[in-house]
Amino acid sequence: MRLRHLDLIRYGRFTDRQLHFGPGGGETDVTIVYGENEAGKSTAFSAWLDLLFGLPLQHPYDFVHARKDLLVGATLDTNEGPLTLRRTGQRQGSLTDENGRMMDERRLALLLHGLDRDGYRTRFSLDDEVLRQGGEEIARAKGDLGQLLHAGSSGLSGFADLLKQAEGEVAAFHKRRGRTTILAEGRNRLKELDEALSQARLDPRRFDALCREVESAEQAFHDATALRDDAKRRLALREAADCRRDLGGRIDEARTALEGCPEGPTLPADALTRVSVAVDAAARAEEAKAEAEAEIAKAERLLSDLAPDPEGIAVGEMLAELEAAEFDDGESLMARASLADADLGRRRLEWDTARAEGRRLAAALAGDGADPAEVVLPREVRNGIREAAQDVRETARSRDQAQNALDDASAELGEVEEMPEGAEVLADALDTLDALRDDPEAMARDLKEREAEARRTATGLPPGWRALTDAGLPTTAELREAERALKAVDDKISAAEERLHEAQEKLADSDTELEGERLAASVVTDDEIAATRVERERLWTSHRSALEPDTADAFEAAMRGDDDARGRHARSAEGRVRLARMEADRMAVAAGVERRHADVETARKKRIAPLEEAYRLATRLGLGASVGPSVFGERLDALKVALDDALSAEQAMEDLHAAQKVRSEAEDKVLHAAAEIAGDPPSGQDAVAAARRLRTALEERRTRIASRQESEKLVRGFETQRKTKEKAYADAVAAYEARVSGLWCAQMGVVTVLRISDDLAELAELHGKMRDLDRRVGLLEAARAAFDKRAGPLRDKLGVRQDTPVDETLRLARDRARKATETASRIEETRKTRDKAEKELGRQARAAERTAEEIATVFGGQVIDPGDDPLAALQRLLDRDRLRSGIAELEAERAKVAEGLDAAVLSEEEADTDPIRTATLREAVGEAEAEREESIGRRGEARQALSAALGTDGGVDQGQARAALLEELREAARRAAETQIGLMAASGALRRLREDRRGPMLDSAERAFARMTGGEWSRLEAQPAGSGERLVGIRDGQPVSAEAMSTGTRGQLYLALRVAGHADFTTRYGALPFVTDDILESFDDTRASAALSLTAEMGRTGQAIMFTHHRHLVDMALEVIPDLHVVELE
Amino acid sequence: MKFLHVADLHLDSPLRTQAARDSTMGDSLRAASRQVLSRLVDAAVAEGVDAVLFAGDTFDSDVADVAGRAALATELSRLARAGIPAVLIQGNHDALLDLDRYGPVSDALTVLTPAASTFRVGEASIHGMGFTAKTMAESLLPRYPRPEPGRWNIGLMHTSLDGTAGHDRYAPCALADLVDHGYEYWALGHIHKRAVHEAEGTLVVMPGIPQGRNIRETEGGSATLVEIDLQGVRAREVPLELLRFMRVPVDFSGVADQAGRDARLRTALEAVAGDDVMIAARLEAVGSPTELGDPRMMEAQAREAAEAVTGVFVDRVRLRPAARALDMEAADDLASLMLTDAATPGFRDEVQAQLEELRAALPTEIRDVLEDDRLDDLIAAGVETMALRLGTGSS
Repeated sequence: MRLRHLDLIRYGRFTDRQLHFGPGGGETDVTIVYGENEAGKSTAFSAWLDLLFGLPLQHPYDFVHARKDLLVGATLDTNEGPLTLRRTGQRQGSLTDENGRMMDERRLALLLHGLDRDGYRTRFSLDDEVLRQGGEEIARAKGDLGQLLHAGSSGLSGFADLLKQAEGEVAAFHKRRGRTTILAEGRNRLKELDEALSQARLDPRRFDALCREVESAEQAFHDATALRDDAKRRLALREAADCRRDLGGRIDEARTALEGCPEGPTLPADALTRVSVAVDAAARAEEAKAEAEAEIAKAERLLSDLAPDPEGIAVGEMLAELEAAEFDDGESLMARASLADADLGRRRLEWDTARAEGRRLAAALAGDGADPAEVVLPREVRNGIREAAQDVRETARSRDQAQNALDDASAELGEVEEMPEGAEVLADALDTLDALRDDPEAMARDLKEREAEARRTATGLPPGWRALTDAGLPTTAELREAERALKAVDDKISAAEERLHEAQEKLADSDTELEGERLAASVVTDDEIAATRVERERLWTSHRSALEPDTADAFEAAMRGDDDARGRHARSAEGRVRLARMEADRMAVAAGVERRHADVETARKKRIAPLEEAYRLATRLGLGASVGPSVFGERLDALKVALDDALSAEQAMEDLHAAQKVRSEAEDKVLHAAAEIAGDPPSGQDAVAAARRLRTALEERRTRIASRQESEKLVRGFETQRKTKEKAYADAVAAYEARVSGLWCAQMGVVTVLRISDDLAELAELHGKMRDLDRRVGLLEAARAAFDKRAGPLRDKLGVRQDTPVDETLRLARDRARKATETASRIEETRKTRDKAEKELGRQARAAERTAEEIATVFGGQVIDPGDDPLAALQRLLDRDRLRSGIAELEAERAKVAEGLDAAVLSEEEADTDPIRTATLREAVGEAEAEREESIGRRGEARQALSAALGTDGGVDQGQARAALLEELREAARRAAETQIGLMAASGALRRLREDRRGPMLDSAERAFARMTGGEWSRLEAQPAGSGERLVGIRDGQPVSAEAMSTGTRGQLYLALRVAGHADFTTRYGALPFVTDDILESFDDTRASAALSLTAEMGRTGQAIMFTHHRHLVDMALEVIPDLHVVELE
Repeated sequence: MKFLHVADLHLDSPLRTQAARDSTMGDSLRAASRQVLSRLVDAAVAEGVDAVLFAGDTFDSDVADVAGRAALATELSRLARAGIPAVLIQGNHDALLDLDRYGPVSDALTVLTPAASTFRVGEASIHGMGFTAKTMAESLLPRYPRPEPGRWNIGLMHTSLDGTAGHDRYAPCALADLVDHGYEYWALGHIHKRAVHEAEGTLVVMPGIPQGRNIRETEGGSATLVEIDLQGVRAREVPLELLRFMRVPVDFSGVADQAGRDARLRTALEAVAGDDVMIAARLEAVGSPTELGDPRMMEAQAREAAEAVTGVFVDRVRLRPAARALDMEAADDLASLMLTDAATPGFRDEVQAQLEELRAALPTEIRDVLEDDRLDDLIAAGVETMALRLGTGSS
């Protein structure tokens, strides 16, 4: 099956694009699809695969047409004839004919011999990456022949790694004597689980055993407890007996001591306290009595020393009355009198001074002899006059100020002026002139510069260059294309010439080799033996007719020579074959030389058209016919720049003219307006300036006019103010006069009144002060008199004069009174102290009697020596009583020890005085305790064991873990077994592949490899390697293993194997298009050429399609591949 | 009246799945059979049944663990507190079990024997008997009491019925005979697959194993709630299982890449995920070799997809490359050669010899995986899987 044409109807960026792959049927069926990067080569290949196998759901080429709208078609040449198909974007039934009728996918499947997408792509396509991986595969496979042959025929790689990985997986699961394999570790884990299960499982027998163990331990505990209790009981009896024995001894001792104590009943319980307290109380009573007596004696002595003062008491009473007395104002008379004593003189002096000053002021104000009382003015009158006078003064001042302002404003009014007609017009015209931005002078300068620039850029151009530009310049693209076309054709010519040269050299080499072979090989050709045979026949004929010895000799020589030649001819068959081959090769090379010649001629012929185009372009650029396209661009640029500059200068000229015109019009308007105002139009160069000055003057006049109008407003305002102030002044004067009417100062002026107002205030103050002093002096004198009257008797009592100062009188009276009072109180206190001490004495005597009675009561019935110290006697009696109670306690304790005990046994123990018996019994108790502790421990362990057993859920978890582990191992074992079987099958298959295919595939690969390497590697051989074979290459007669070859050579070997595999497949199943994608990118020209030759080989048995973006490979392929079809993608 | 009928609890029999080793699911599956028993009692109490019927094989063996007995006793005591009696017969697995070794298991439990074959509750009479024999070649039906007039008669029997593949023949009995006996309801046990038969007003139910333990026990998972009244006898399933084994076919037709495979796997797993039950899935991947890709990658993707689906565990993954539509000369030589080689007797013998050592190294319990009668399947699977791994097709 082959691809005739591929229709990219709606696919990727293509719409209705058809790629033709030629009719086929030539010497080779090879198509090169050439296109720059991104031209759509990969798109085309993808479209081919989609046509064969359907569009994937996620499509990478649906960026222009949606996936559902994608459509690709093709016409295939099959054994049954052409077959046109379409592949749509439908999910179901996507394969149709050109009319849209659904077609059976099996048609294609049959043509593809059952290959799926991946299978076809790996077998029948090749790109640089696959080529590289293929080379690496050769290394990884270590040259294993089977793997390499399979790699070559299937296109797949990675076998070695996969097989190795599978072997690793099997070994990881299990290998003999393996300890860390999955199975070994699984078995170990199963053992652990079994152990745990047996521990955890609680079957009835084990449960019963644990229960029995617990019961036994309980019983042992009870027994041990009983033994311990018995031992304790015996020890307790023994210890009680020991104790009773000891108590009995102490009782006897106490009874013996009691015999030496005094007779008598037992003292009451509180005897000690009572006697002690009584003794202490008696001692204290005696002490208190002594103190009282001393106190009484002291008081008597004091009373005899103190003398009372009744007079002083009376003074005190009188003083008290005097202190309580009040003056008329309700205050204390005594305080007032004291103050009067101190203050009266000073006040009188103040009054005199004030009176003198008052008189002086009155004279100053109202003249000599004026009575201050008459001159004084009340405050409100005085203030009223002052305020009125101040008003008058203020209003006068305001009035004067207003008048001044009015006068000033009137003086500043200035002259009256008016604005002329046309002032506005002049101003507008000047504004318009000023608003013009263009400066003709600057523009003129710019114009000069541009003109100079235009002249400069036109330098070097032909005189009529403007005509060239007017006629239209060629585009840069045209120039570039012309240059490229000429260059391309020149390159082709060069390449063709070079190839011709190479071919010629090759022919020369071939001639040399052939000649050398002829000379060295001593080859006898058929012609030669025919010649020797003819010679022999001739000489035979000659001899037969002459029958001479010389003719015989000649014939013999010729016969020998002929025989020899025939012998050599027979021996040199191989040489002839070689020679024939060399001659054939030489002929092929010579034919190649002829072809190269033709190519050169063809290339030269193809140069004419681009050359003519170049001539035409040169003319359009004003260049000579001999100028090459390389300078076209420069000329074009120069022309463009010159044109730009010329146009720029022209434009500048136009702009300048326009600006000048506008400015002139504006100036005319200005001058006309100025003339309207001034009468005569300004002239001369400064006409416009004069017009400006006129405008300025008019502006100033306008300002003055406005200013005068403002000033007139101000004058009117000042006039109004002045009138107002005048009225205010008159009102103030009237008010003032009303105030002073009828007063002594009525005739005084406002200024004078204001001046004397302070003095008037001072006079009023002095007058007030004098009145106040009068009043106070009067009060002081009254107080003094009242005091003297009341204090007369007191002074008499004191024996001092009646004019004694108040304070002195009071001081003396107080002292006398105080002393008398103190003496009286001391006498009273002393008497009280004496009485109190006498009472205390009596009380303490009674207390002493009571203590004696108490002691007598406590000691009642006791035998005591009279005069015996009570405390000592008490101590003796207490000792006696203590002995008695001690004996009773001991007896009670002894009885208590025996409580609850067997009396008979106790009695026996008491009788047994064996010193070690107690220790022995104590030891027995210790042993019994230890035994019991041990039984507690055993009981705890047994309970713990049972509890643990019951707490494990009976091994459910372990059982489940075991079952899960077994499942895991089961699955892993199955997988390992399947993998092992798979390995065996794969190994066997590779072995058969090697055996079945090695012959034809090896030969095919050998030929391809030799051609690819230019004969450097002349042969491929299979050498034994273990249980299989490995592939080796022969270079210079030496074998080199495939994995030892260089990377590039391995790549070539892989390519050769793929070519062999392709041939093998085609032979067995039929041809399918083989697609390569830029696989020669990394090849040098020699290898690329060889690879192209291989492609040609493939193209002889089936269709081969090459994608490339290298132009030179296209050219090379045209050389190497006969009947090559080229498709160019834009 | 209402009854809850269960059989073949097989208490403490473990689950044969790797899911129990999963960190997430392992805890949930702990003591699975005891959890199922607890769920049974929960359902009985919730439904307020009149009795719970245990139709044999409550325990998995004759020597029940004390902990297992205690678990049963605990659950029965819950029934007792709820006032629900339990009626039990022994099956073939627990035929010899001394249930009352430690005294009565529960006041609420009645074990029916030939000597005491009827238990009466309300208006129902429950007849049954278990035998202390691990095999019973004859039908027990003739020894069952006649139906008691005026009462609902229920029969409790552990039987293989007419015989079912995969189950031992035990007290075989014809279905028609059961129907003819005259009871309203037959509560059977022994066969792990649920089945319901109705004829002439009699309902015969084999409830199936409430918790399947392996891939062959996928058709139980429940107890049966029975309602008997004047309208007749009705039965419905009460789901109890924690884990369900499922074969999950996954079609990879049209898949072009790993993302597509992942999507198909997730869709398939999400479709089988259940709200109340965990799933132990055995995936069977169907597609062309290209669509299936590398088997190890498929297995890894399947496990990863399961991790994203709550409650689903992938126990196993099998690849089933689709057969080609036409038996044409396949362009894939290596696969053809592998198949051809594998079909030869010499290959088979060599495989047998190779696997012998492996089989001997396996624990006894799992040696069956490499038995001779599975050799053909192993060979087919081995060749298929290796062909997929090598990237080749197969026919």
